[in-house]
Amino acid sequence: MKKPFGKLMIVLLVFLFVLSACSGNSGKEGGASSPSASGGAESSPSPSQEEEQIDPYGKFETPVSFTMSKPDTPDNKLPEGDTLENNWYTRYIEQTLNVKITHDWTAQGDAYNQKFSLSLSSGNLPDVMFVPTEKDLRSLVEANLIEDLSDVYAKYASPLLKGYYESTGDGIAFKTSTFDGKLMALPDLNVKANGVQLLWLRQDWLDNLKLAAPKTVDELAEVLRAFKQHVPDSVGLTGDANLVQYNQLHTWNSLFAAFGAYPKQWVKDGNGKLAYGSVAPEMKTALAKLRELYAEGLIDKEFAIHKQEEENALIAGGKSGAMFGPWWIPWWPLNDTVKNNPKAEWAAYAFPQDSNGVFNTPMPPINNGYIVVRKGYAHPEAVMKVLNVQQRAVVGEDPVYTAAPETQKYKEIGASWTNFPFNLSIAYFNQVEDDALLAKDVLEGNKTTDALKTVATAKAWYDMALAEKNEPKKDTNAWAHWVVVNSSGPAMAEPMNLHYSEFYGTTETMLTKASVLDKLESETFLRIILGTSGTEEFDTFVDKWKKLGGDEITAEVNAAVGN
Amino acid sequence: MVRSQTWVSRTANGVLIGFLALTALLCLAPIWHTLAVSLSDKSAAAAGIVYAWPVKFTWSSYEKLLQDSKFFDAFYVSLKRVALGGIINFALTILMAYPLSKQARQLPGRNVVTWVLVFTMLFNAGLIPWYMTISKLGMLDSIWALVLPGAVPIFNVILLLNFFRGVPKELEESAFVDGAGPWRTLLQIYIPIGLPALATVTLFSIVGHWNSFFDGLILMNHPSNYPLQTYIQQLVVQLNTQSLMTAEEARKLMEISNKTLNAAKIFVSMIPILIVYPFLQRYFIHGIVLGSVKE
Repeated sequence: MKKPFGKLMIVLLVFLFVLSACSGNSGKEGGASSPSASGGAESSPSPSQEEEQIDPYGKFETPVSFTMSKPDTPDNKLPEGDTLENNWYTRYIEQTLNVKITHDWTAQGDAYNQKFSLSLSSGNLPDVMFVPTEKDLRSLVEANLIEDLSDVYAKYASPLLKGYYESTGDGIAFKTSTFDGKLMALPDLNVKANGVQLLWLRQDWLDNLKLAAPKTVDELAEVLRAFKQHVPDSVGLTGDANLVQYNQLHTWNSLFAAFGAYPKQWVKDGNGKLAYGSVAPEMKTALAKLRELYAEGLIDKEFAIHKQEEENALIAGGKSGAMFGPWWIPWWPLNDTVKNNPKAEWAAYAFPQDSNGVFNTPMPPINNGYIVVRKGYAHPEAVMKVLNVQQRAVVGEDPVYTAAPETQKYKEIGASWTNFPFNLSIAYFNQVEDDALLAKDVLEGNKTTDALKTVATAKAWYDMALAEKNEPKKDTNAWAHWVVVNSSGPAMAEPMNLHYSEFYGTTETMLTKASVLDKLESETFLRIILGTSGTEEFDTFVDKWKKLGGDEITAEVNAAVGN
Repeated sequence: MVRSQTWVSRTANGVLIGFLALTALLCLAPIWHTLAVSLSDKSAAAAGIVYAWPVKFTWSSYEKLLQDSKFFDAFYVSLKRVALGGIINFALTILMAYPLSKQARQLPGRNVVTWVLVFTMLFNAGLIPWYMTISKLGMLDSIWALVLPGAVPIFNVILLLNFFRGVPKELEESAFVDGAGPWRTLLQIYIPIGLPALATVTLFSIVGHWNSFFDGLILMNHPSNYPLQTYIQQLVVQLNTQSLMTAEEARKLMEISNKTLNAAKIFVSMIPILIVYPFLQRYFIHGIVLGSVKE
């Protein structure tokens, strides 16, 4: 289903650009004539009078309301009668702040992004919107449809929230949401755990073979070879036809990075200019090696035609003992391996390293989604306050909220925090691995349980890992906690090079040519790996890529970062 | 009719029957497989070892399905859609096809209208204008958005129109002679004669309404208004792993990636259509005009 949607999105975006130009004008006219444009002016004198008394969690005296577009939560678990729009979380916001939120529309995943573009084109914007991509944010800013939030953030954001945003350092958190020095959106934070891709291996196979974890790509090949002899019907390393994707299963981000190759990212070339990672010479070396591994049968022969589900089945059925994936895969699909074979063990490693002994892993953009306020909406500060209250509650810093019986009840049924108004996950950059490490320390007796008292998130890890320790493999959920605490958490805390792309945006030529270039790229790479074309095909690809618009895009990207 | 008994024709028959049986089996296989998966153990299904027979047989996914109120809400939306949409399509198809099946001297401009219809079949304005039209008409988020935009299924109109044209015109003339007007001719001659064609187009429109998911996705503002196929499409396609932060969120993956439950939902969603077929099938053999006219 992915492909048609992708194509559709491109068509939509092209339409959108035409249309946003039109709606941009009407937006300006509306702004000039409607009284709400003065809303911003009204609110500015009042704070100056009560500059000292601003309470980021303060209740509004008269009810404030806004409409919004909200992503739906898949498989949402709520008590009978509660909905995404009206549940304990939203009621808590309402009783704390006197802010009432209604949903103009909701949809899930890809459908949300699609509907978002459509609703922009129809011109009926809700007061507050969740913006799914940087591209959409840019077009909203260019069409002058959204409010500048710089002042609101400076005045109303809680110190707690500011602390989270600042944990990335250097204002990186706001890099993509700031335009001409103005903060146009409140972003979420993609933490380290959302980017780091680990090598997962069947530890029981390694132990049986008395092998150490492979530090380099060559050692990995050795291990794969040994695995194939150990389990004759196994297929080797799993893969995905999308060779690189962030926070996904089976893709090879870290494997390419071990060669210093960063496909799909923008990297600095020798002269300080930006260049496209997929056409760098390192990529050729990486592809040549993968081709070798594939020819030897160390990579699943069918990875290029398999869907993710089918590769998962290989993992679950014990047909493969090696995959690349993020920290959370013990819940899916590794849990099924253990259910089918209780003797199975998985472990994660921050390997393979490059020739300098460094583990590199490419990182996604720091922001995944944004909250924006429609131009002319009278109470942008309400939006800020809702986020303050939401964040304080989500991270467990709000005693009133935590003590409420409803909170307990929601926790028991496993209601998702995404039932809060804003789907902005904001955490400390190292939260997952820090919590896991703390839980591990306590589990091993290096620290006492007192250390967990102030860190509610780490305590949850500890409790479940302890349950697994007492009754191994009884509950796969506990087992998954155990694996993260003992293996993937610590692996993420290893020293590593987080490789950020120098540019995550979209340029004009990308809009028209990226689909052709991406197709050329992925087809060439797959052909080289599968052995249907020679490695020298890479050079023809680079030439073609440059001619078909790559040079233009490179120039635009360099211009965009001021080179 | 005499059957030729040569061995050549008998082997040819055998081969043909074998081939057709194989094709029929191929069509049944995915349905059967889905049923087998839905009755299997979760982990076995995830490991892909379920083929034609359930592994570690269990009813658990159907038990779970019975408790899923969202599934039944969506089921109800779909039933409403099929009932409303089916009736509207049925009425409008007949009312459009009947006049157009007359000869050009009876209905001037007939060919122009037909070509306009064919044109809309081949070309459309695209997604955004379509969405904006429906949005400006205020139909978003209501059942009418699923029913009215496709109220006149052109393909069905053309099918029926051609069927009506094939009806001997002597039948119509004799009705006129007996004093029947156009309405009476339509209701008492054409519709009874046209039952096989009508059954076909009705089946098309019911299946079309039942199976379409995309308009539900785009035109419904709240997932509680999704028809069944949209709901199922979301289940099968969606698995958002973009920002997992806590173990609780990761645990959800375990539940969402539930192949057996999804298979059960898909299977249950097929049942209504499987039931409709045999009921409509009996009309296929009725209404034969053979022998009604002597020339």
